[in-house]
Amino acid sequence: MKKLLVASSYPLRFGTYSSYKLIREVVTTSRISFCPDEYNFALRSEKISELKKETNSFEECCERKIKYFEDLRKPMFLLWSGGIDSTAVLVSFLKFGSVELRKRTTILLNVYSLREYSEMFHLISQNFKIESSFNPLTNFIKDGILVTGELGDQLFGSDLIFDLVSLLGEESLTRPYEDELKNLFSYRGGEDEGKAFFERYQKIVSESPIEIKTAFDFLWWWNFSQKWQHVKYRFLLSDNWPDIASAVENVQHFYDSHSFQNWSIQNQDKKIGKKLSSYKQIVKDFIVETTKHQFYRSKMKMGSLGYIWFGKKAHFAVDEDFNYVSPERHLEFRKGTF
Amino acid sequence: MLNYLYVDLLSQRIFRVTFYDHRFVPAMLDGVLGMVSGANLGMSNSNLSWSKYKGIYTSGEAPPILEQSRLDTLAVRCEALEMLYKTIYLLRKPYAEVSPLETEIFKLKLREAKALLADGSETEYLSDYARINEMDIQQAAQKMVFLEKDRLALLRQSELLKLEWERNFIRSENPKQQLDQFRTTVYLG
Repeated sequence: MKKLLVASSYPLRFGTYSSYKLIREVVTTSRISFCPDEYNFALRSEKISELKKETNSFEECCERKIKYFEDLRKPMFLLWSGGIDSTAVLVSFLKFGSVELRKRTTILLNVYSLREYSEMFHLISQNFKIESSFNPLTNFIKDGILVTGELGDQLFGSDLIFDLVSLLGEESLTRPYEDELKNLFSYRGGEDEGKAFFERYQKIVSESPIEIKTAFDFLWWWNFSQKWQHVKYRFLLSDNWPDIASAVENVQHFYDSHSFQNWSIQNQDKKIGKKLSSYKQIVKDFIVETTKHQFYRSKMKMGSLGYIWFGKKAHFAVDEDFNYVSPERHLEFRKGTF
Repeated sequence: MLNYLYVDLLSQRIFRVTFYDHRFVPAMLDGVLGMVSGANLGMSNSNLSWSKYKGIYTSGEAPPILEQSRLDTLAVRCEALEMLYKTIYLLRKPYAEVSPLETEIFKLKLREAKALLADGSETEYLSDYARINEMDIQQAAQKMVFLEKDRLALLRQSELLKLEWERNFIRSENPKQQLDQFRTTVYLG
């Protein structure tokens, strides 16, 4: 049976596809033994139990990734949205990268990046070449590596914490997950669907390497164990990538490493304080240490991917042999009713 | 009663205008559709081809059956084109929503930026901009040049989208199917 590499429910959203309402276009792919996937997927990202054990600080993880890029000896194109994750990648290039690496690195940004963090422009223009990220991204991998800040949210938590807090208040982050998550999903998808959705995924907690107690813990573990592969390959679903195999090789996410994943498992206490504004505080501190932009410590997360994807082709899926799959064929890959 | 859709992409605005006699509609639509079709045959740089599109939504007095079918198709085309033009507007929003005055000032700063980077010419508007934003004048110049490149890249991207789907919507005998396809295959957030 053929399997999928990545899928999005976006092209199915006008039908009766219920999980679109709950988690928007994400179609999950489990990285643990328990597999609540809706479709048959080929697991191409590593299972969490197979991660090589390492212990590094967040900064050391960044430094290791930059060392890896140094050794690639290829032109680098860094997609910078102005958000926290991609800014930390940019700062890593500045802090740990050699002059030679910076010389062969182009920063891809657009007017929205500058609206979000205009103060970074001087550091960028002093150190790197600059291009517009409105140019077709497929062009940049012809002779180089496209680096993104994807998977940062999977390391730290989930963007669903913003919905949780707006619905149930900041205290909900640290309350036991059972009731909070049921409420969150019921709010988004209706009571019956929300309950069914929660029950479908609840069993993932038993395989977590750390004890899952709070709503924040659950959302992180769900994002880390179920959404990783989707986020890793979802760029393929936006735009037409003429050579998908080449894209898989040449689009690299900065946070996609065993080091970062180990850091995420070992440092649950460093991801958020008691308030939403302290989410990713360790990353903001890392950024400010280099940029000296003190205001950035209180920056809130802003979604930025929509600006890159808007108006572009939205595919349903890519199969394990790197072919696009049309939405009409989605039942061929479906595991069961949701 | 007839509701016409009037799209003026030069000013990036969409209007609806109401008329009260459907018998005027077919001839007007034929003329305008021909103009829009012309835009897809290599006239995309012409201001005329961009300037107007009129269509029909509903009619109070029932027209003949054949005519109704034709009007229905045209109505769906209007709806489809309206959605496309709104999408293009949203795509271009960061650069399209600025006022004509701001655009003119940007052009002045851009001209000064290019001259400064080429031969170190003196600046006026750019100097003010740099001082207000606490930037080095060279960085301000680089920023202006980048913003212009960014604007052109965005324009190219949206133009390709417009050309592809405008052609589909206008030529297809089943614009409803094309519209559904647009909604499911183009990411609209």
